[in-house]
Amino acid sequence: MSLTRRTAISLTGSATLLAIVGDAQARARNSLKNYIRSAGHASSYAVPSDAASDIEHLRITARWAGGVVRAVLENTGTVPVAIKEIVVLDSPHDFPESTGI
Amino acid sequence: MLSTTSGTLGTPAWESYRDAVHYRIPEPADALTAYGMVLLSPPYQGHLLIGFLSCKRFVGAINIWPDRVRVGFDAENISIAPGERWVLDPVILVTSADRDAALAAFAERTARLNQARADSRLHTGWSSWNALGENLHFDEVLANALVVAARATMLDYIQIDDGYQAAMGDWFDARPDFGGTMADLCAAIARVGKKPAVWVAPLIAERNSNLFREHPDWFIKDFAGAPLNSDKTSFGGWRHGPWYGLDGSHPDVQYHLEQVFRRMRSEWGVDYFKLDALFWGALPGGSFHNPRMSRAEAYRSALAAVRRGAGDAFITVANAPLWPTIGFADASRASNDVRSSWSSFKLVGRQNLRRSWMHRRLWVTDPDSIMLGGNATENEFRVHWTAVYISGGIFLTGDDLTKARPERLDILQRLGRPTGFKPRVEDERLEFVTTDGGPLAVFNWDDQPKQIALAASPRSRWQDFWTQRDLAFDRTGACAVALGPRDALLLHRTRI
Repeated sequence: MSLTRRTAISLTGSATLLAIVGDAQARARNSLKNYIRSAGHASSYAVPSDAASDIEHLRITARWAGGVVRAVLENTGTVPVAIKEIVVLDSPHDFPESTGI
Repeated sequence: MLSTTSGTLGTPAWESYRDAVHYRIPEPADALTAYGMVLLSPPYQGHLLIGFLSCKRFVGAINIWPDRVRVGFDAENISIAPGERWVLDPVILVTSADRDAALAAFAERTARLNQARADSRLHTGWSSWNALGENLHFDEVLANALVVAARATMLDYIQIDDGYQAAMGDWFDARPDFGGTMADLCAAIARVGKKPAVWVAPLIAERNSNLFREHPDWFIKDFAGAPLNSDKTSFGGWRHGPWYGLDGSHPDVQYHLEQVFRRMRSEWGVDYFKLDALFWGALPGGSFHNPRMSRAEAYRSALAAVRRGAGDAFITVANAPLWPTIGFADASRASNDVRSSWSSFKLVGRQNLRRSWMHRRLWVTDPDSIMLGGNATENEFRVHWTAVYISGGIFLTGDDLTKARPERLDILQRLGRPTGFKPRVEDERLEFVTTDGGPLAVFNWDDQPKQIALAASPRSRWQDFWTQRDLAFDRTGACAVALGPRDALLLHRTRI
């Protein structure tokens, strides 16, 4: 690229400002790593359409490879089960509200 | 499935329509929901993309609560039989310090898995919609084709948009006051040296159509077994509604769709289709002829039938559920319809830039029409033209060219053919857009003038396409560019 936008930020001043920015960075820095870690152990489950359905024989396996998770839902029981929703990853996060989307 | 979200987790913003509001797609009220993918950019940490590499089986959604992320599929109450296994569409997590790199990596893997049609030819043309609307007439279309042939020669196609048909669903019956048949109009367009292109909404019909009257069993059903009135569960359609969605799981519907496009190709000579209102083939809240099929599967079966009939024709899609459409469409609209006003130029331009990472990866961008006439200022038009140009997508113009000012027709000639470059949006404000070795765009979307600082490497000269003025860099390679309110520069490099 031979033409770029200049985004230099003038930090005229104070060590205090730098310290505040540094502290905020440190606090926020881990939320992405934290999420990656928690997603690796996320729960996977199927939600039956009828809450009274026997879901003991519904088995969901989620296998990770190179950042990709492939899930398979299997009914090992003897009766069909209507499925409302399949959740592949359900995990906590601590992304701040200022996280861009 | 169709809308674009921006802003932050705490303050999300939607570029126009929201899936939950406009299309009434059910989602948790207390969560932010994204379909297909979401890119999260926590401060100071780089970017995390969570996305579905395909949505062939079910529509995938990402729900984000303040403390929890849930990634999953709406299984639509379909039964899983004893011993049955459902292999679900894969989900990917991509992290990168570079936003565009994360999007590109995701798009390229998604494209491979779905056999995306991202290398299609970048077409040019004129579309009747903005100029003539739903009451278009045979003679008006032909008059525009003649202007194109004489004075806008780089435009190859004449796209006959919505309104030629007697009813939504009856594509071969011309509207009584249309002034002729589509076969005759397409032949007349070919005689002036241009190619006919046609708008079709193949997955809908209105109640008043012959298709609906003769085949009520071909439509997605409500739970009483009657054709599902889309107004009951979703958006009922913008013209001649409520619409009814064709059930792509029905073998007779698949045969019908294939024959519609086969006929349009063979009898009308059309090899460019704009398909609209595709979402209605994946309506939520209904039931399908084949109860084992999901909405995504029924929809994709319908698209496969269309493609069998259309063959290798160029197909651009609008109002489509995006992820299930990858691998079918050559081009995709990424925005609302454009109108000749600043508010529309801004909205549509920004929508197209937000989805520009899909261009030449999942399909080519259809940025909607280049508008030439109207009351917008010259600056505002420059923003609009620059946004279309830098999108790298197809070029269609939408004005009544029989009334266009000659200097505006010259704009088309100057723009030439689509560039095909992949744009790269460099900042969240969408002010600076680069391409892979091609032009650059600088936007001021605000109502106030603005200065933007640029830095250039030695031995390069940059010129604004619109004013033909060179940028003046100082000895350090710095340049402060002054932009007026609602203004844009389109910069091309010329070697010294």
